[in-house]
Amino acid sequence: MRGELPVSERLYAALLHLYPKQFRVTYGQQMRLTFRDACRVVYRQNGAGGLLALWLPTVLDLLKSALEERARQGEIVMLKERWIALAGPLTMLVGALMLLGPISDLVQLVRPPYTEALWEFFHFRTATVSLAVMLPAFVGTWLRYKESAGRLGRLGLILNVAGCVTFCLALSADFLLDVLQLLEHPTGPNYAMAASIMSILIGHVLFGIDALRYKLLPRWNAMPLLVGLTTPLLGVLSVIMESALRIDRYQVELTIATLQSATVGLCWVLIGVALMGQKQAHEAVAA
Amino acid sequence: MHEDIHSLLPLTPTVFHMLLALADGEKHGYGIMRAVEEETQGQMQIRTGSLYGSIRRMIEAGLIEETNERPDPELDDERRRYYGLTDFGRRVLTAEAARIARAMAVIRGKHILGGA
Repeated sequence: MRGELPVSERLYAALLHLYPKQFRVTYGQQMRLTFRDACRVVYRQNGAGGLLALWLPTVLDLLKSALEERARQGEIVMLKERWIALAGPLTMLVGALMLLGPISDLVQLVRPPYTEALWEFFHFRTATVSLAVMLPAFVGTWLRYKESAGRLGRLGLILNVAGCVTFCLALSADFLLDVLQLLEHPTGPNYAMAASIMSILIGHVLFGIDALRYKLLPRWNAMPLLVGLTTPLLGVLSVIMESALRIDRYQVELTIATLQSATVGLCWVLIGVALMGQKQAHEAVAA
Repeated sequence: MHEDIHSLLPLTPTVFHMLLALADGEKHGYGIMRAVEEETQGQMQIRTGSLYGSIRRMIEAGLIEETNERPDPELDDERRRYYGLTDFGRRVLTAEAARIARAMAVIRGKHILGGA
């Protein structure tokens, strides 16, 4: 027997873990035997090419039927509730990560020397990672409010999720292009990241308007709007600092970045606490 | 567990052809897949995931059951399970076949297939 067959069977056996445990225990072994038979027949008839041709429809069918079995056992609903429950702690975590920048600025102010490497790490790297962590938090928030928010709020929540997805994709593309060195100075991913952040900010403004209008959060309903408006407000402040107060451009950029991380980070921590508070209230009613 | 036969009709093509495949005897999963493919001249191919999802639903509906038959270890893998029609499954298949036969009579009467 050629090596492709056992590999194929082992891979299929691993993919069976996508099914709910109960279904897997009852039918897993039979499915493996059936797939093994199908593999042997196509391999005998068409070789490795036949085996490959069998895999694509098999994987698609496996994904579809695994989803159906999970939905039947109510696991999809459980998954949704898990995402919703994660939204609060994750939003708080992201806010805390954003706050690392301003906190490190304070520490370095008190205990110099101030290094650019540390600044870049805490302001840029941490913020980048935190935006990637934000994706499940945004998805959970969208799942929680997609029914209760108005049209604006729903659009805002979708813009948040879409912005986060494109940000993660652009970040991955940037990393890959950097590793593969296909382009000398790839700018595409940077534009995509900027557009993604813009989408998230607009998303927060729209959701923030609905949060204020319908009191969606149990408290601190102004926070989402404040996240969205921080960047334009600080933009105005930077213009004032540079032109009216004649402060050095580099200093202005550092100050604005610190203020931005501090404001957005604090807002996200508060939004996270509010989302968690809502969960506790829901659980109390359920109890 | 058994519902009224007519509430199950018309059957989905997958369930109908699986029942049809089992009408002439018990089969294991791969046997059902092959029989359906051959009996539909390759027009219907049931993949492994859908096959066992259907088997589960059909067992729950009382249409088929797992049989005690096991293959001879020298001829085949003794871990295989075989499935067969229940009495209820056979009656449902008969009712569906009668429904299709009535539809075929109408088709012939209206010369839908031409010539005849």
